[in-house]
Amino acid sequence: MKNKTTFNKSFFLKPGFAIVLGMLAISGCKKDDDIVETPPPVQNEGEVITTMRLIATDSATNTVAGTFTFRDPDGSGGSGPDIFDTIRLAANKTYNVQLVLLNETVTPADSISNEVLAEANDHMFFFHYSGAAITQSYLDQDTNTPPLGIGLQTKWKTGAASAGTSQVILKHQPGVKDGTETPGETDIDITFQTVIQ
Amino acid sequence: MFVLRKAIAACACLFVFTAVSAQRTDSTAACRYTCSGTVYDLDSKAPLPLATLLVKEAPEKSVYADEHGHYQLSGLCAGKTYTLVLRHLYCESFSDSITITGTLQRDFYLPHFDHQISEVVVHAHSSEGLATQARQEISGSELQQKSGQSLGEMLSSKSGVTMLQTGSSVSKPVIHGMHSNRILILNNGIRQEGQQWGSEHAPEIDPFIAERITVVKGANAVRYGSDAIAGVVLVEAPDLRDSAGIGGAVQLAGFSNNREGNVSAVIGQNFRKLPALSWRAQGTLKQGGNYRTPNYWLNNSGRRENNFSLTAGYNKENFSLETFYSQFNTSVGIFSGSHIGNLTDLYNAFNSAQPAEQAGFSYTIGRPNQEITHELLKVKSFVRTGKGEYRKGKLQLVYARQYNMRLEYDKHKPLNDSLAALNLPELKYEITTHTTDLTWDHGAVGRFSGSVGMSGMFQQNTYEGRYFIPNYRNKTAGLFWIERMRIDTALTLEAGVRGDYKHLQVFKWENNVVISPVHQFSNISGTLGLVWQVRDHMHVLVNAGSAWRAPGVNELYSDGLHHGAAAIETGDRTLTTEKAYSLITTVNWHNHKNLETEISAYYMLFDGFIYAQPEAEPALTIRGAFPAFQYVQTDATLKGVDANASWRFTKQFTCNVKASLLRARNTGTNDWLQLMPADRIEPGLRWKSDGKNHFRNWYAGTSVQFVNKQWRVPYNSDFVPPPAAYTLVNAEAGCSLFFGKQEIEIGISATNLLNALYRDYMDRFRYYTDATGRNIGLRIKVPFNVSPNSKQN
Repeated sequence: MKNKTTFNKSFFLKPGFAIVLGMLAISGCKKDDDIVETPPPVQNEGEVITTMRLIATDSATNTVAGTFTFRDPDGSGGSGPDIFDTIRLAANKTYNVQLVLLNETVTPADSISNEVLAEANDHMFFFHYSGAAITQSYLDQDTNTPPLGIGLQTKWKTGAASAGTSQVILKHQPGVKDGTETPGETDIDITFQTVIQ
Repeated sequence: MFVLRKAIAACACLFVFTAVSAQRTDSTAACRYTCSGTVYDLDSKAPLPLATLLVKEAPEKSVYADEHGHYQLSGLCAGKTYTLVLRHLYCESFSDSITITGTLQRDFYLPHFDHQISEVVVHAHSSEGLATQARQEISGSELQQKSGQSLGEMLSSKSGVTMLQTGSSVSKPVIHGMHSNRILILNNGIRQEGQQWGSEHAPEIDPFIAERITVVKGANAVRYGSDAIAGVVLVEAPDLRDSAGIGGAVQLAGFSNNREGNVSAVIGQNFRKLPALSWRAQGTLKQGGNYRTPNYWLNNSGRRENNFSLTAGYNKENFSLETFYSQFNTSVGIFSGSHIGNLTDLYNAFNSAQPAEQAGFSYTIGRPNQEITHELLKVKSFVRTGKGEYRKGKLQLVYARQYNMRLEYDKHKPLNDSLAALNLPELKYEITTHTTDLTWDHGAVGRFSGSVGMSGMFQQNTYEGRYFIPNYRNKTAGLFWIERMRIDTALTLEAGVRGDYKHLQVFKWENNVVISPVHQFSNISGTLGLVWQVRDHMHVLVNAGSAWRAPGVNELYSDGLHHGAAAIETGDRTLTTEKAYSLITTVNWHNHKNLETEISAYYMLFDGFIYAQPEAEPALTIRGAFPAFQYVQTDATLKGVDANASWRFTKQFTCNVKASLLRARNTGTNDWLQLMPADRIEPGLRWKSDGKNHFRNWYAGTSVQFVNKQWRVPYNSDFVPPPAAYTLVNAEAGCSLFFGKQEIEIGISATNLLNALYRDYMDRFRYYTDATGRNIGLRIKVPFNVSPNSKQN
């Protein structure tokens, strides 16, 4: 590198080059308006369903026989559920089961079941039992023609003592609700351990 | 009548050169440089055979180009400027000067007599980057034949390059199996900075802007900084017009499958009274509707784009100032059947013969969709440095600001009516990036040429809506030095070193307080390479390089259900730098007549390769159980071969074949790496008219692309097995027509000509749908030129 190239002394004076340098100096020193110090609070976090509660009322006595909860307080991901109850019901009885959905990431907790009810024509719950002797029917109806079940209010008839699982599925079926489980997307899919005793 | 037959050309052109082309070995060490390249027909962009290159200062060094337009001047002296006069029977002769600072590669475009274009277009290969790395480029007529395609689609025609797709409307380039944060895209010399970590985030670049798109393969951190692990994509706009007058072109491209239309126009002007000043404006409109597979339409798969760019420059020999502004706006519909609630839905979609949501054709884009804006403002200036005509260096300063806004809308609005009425995106990212580069290419100093430079970046990211990655602020600084040394006529060495520092501060809500942890990364990269002209017909490139990248913010901080991917991804805040070392060797051999082959072999070693590892237990959520992935680091190796060969077996027919093989191993778990392109081979046959009469620039070609099944996949990391091997037939044809003096270039192309039913492993929508069916494209280009000197016919 002996023959080192020598600078043309006037090049810093070239007007255009000086302009670019000047712009750089300005942009480097100026506090940029794009820059936010800390993140804004979450404004429009999509609706999160953290909690499902099944409130079983004995239809004969009209007393609450049990409340069974699934709760994942930080939504999907992060920590898993902190409450995941086993459904325990007496044998050979009929229960009216009310289903409650909550978003507990906000205070006070937001009732998502009311939103589902408001869009009842696009939503439907489905229930599947395995091992546990339960049969289920719908107590509520939407305003489709003919009306279809919703599933926020259902009747569960228990059989003999048994153990197994109860699966609760909520399908979002905008415009395609037909009373079957096939169309639409799954919003909820929870399988509770279930004991009939 | 314009493209020559060998015999005619030999008589007409070569009378001077037979006498003087005898090679004389120059004994001085500094006179061992070569300048090689190809001479093209300016109009057809086809190689022009048998043009003569007269070296005015040293007539004994004059040569003529071969049948393919290739030429090589040798024994050129370092630091000297030579005047080249190019002559061809049917072309205007013109002269241009070259300054020798090392081995030069330069292509020339010769205008025809009948075209009455007074200016001469000289196009030199950009000297950007390393000379010892394998590169492939799309330019000239090839670029024109691909117009209307996305950047990912265009590049996937090159061996070793494939694309990662999210359906037909979102595609991004993959080099040697690497994509997103592991390749770097330079848009007009500026690092493209958006949300490039996302596999469903396509590069926000309008390919109509480009005159040339180049893929440089191999680790290349030294020149470009972090992320250039597997390679670099250079999208380069043409130089501003440098001869007085107005010129430009209108391009139209239409496609049958999704009834897509593209209109792009460019106009540029140079002033006769102020020859240093030029400007150019360019714009593109694109609209496409639903795509169709061989059996059904894909609901909500349309796209729209409107882009424009403005450039103005003041260019003198020793000083230049140029400003560039571009805006890219797109709306992309996401096939609605891909929006699933849980794994059961995914399996249902995969197992059904048709998507649950039937659709016909429509241009309407509804939810789910993406709305993206990307802005780039660039100011570039250089001054020549140094005294003496032959020893000039170049000091260049570039500043750029980019702003990228990405809105992602879910399939459904919120249940809550008041929220739904706002119709807000479920996810909104805004990222602003300022970059500055200062580079000094010093002139030739003895046997050396090279450059030093520094670069800095300042970046700020914010989000609104669903959490996937946090807000952050990112500052980087880098310093590099690359030197090239000419050993002798046949051998050039290249070496470079770079240091980088990155400061990342994250802002995130956690347990109702804002945390702002800082991550710092620093790294030294190096490169060493050679260009060896083994024989007249053969040269070898060898490059060993290192590269690095800091873990992406998603890899550090993601936590939750990946939208649409049916997977829970968890980042790891303790991840460290991922380093890669690559060795890539390219052998190019041609017989100066009708055979040419190029084979590239590469080996890449990763230290701390970051990937999402499946967890043993699925994650339980209210939507059901999802496979859980945790970002971890491992060691990995990639090795592969890219090959190209062409054989012109008659004057008009050429057959060619290109092939790519890749083996990617996770050496930590002794398993394959996921999402790697399968082996592929594509033979083709091409006819080109012999250039007589009206058949000038007529061409037709067909190719058969065979893609093997990717059975080299890791255990237990995918929902469904990889799709079967498939074969696609593609074809194209085109010509130039003249209406008076007005030329019109017309091209027709067909992809998946036989309407084959297939799914590609690198398409995320393979879970939900078949790939798109036959697509016929029609392209028309109308160039225009108004030059004050060309009044006569």
